[in-house]
Amino acid sequence: MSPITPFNILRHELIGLKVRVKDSTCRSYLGIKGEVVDETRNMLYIRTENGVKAVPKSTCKFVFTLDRTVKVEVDGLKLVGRPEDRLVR
Amino acid sequence: MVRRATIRRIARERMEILFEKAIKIHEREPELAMRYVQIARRIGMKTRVRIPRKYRRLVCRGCKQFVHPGCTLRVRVKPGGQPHITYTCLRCGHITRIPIKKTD
Repeated sequence: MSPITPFNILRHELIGLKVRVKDSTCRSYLGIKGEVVDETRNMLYIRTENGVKAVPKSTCKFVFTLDRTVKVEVDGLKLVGRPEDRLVR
Repeated sequence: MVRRATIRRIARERMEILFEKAIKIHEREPELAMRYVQIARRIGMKTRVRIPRKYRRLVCRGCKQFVHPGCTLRVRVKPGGQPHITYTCLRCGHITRIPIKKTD
């Protein structure tokens, strides 16, 4: 299986990746970190140590950790879309 | 086009990831397992990619939900004129029969 690269992260599966909210238009979403457990058109559901948090994609910049060493910063606006729609474009 | 082949490859990888996760967590969180299988099916439908063969039996043809031998699926070997294996979904009752082929 080819690894998820910073090139294809926009199309690849986000569920299971470790993620951290780096920047946000709303202060209450800053610093949320954990593992992605679900994804809908506009939201990412992240399991943190305090439970599962629903975070809107369009308001945040995320940092995903791929393969334990590589980190990618992604603007949430580019992630908007249902999981199956994100794959096709 | 190179684009289409890449999309199909990523689709297959995503489906494998999702099915592996569903298998791992289905005992603790069955609803999440069903959700992952639902996403995997949608990805396959959207990109016209088939579910990889080893995961095909994990989806019930009747209710389209995640199904696992031992807890939500009953697997029996039936004798008779045509020996076959029966997979019964314990949620919707749908039965899949696979005839046993002799491999020589």
